[in-house]
Amino acid sequence: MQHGDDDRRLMRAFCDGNESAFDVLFQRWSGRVLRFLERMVREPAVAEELLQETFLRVHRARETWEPSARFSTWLYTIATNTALNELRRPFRRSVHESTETGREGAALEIAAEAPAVDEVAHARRLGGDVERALATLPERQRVALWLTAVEGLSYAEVAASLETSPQSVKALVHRGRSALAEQLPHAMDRGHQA
Amino acid sequence: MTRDGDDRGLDEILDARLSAWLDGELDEDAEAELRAELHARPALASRLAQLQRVDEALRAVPEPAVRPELAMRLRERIAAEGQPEVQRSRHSAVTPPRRRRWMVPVLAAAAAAVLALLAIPRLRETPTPEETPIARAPAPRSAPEAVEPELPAVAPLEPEPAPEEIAVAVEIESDADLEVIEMLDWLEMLGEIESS
Repeated sequence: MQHGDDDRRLMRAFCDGNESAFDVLFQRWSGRVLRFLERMVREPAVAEELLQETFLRVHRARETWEPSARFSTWLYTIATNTALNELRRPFRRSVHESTETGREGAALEIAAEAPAVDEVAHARRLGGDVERALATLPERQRVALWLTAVEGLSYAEVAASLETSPQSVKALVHRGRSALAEQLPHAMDRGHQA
Repeated sequence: MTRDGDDRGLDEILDARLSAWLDGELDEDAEAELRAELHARPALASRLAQLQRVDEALRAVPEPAVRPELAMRLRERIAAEGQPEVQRSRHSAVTPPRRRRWMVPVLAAAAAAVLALLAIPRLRETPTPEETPIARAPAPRSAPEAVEPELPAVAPLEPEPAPEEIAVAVEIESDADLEVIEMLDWLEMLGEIESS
């Protein structure tokens, strides 16, 4: 989120024909966007596919991109639309359709970068709890809550992504957060004690 | 940590305001007002902490590692999009255009119908060898060599195309296109025979 101006500069360079600027943007944002997409579609292989579609759209937009909004807002708008389209497909892709081998069929897991065993165990447990709790939210609540609470987008920015009003986003976020607060108490208590 | 008895009566609007505060969406006045409420109502402070922990739990979800193959596959897809014209022309050279494929069975059926129409009256008439169309034509009065110029009344058959022409056509058109062209030629020829 701290890359605002730099992202815009990179995107401008890419629009001027600098392909490596696009690669830098991909390196910078792909992890965060993949995390968001995994929370939305809950299938790692499908999320990877959507990640590629998202950046493919970014690439296609090189002729039309206008630096009117933050790059991250624009990027998450694309990712959100891609995810919502996927969720509304009558027959959603399953991991079995994917040609992936590495992550195929893998359940969403919380990876940890070599911390203590207890922390890993807790992170996995909490991650699983968060995953299940998020999955119970309606998709627009899930998008609104994630984009504001985790990605730091404003209500106005999320409203633009979801094509609604900031007031509606405020309500979506509040309902989503309240629902999670009811569903995650034990996991969060453990987290605080740790 | 669930909302206890004191919290149950918590005003929904106030709760929404706590949420908005966490998102940095309150203006200064509303924020000051909320701070005062928080001092006055410990239950509200407890609720705020509860909502804050939701955000912490969400942010604790780590970013997944993006496999290097994804970047490579993305590059491949971008490269493939960069040459759509070439692919399209290659495609059309191999596969007949869809809009003309439907003509093959239609023309085949039409040709069969024309052949049937031509064949039925002739079967009924069972003409003798003397009554063939050429034989029914006015008898030549002069020597056979003088009759020659009148024969074009019956449409001459199209000459067989030279093998080189077929080879060129195969290069340009697909098999299905050739079938269509042949059907059209046959229909034209049959039509001329019938009219004669």
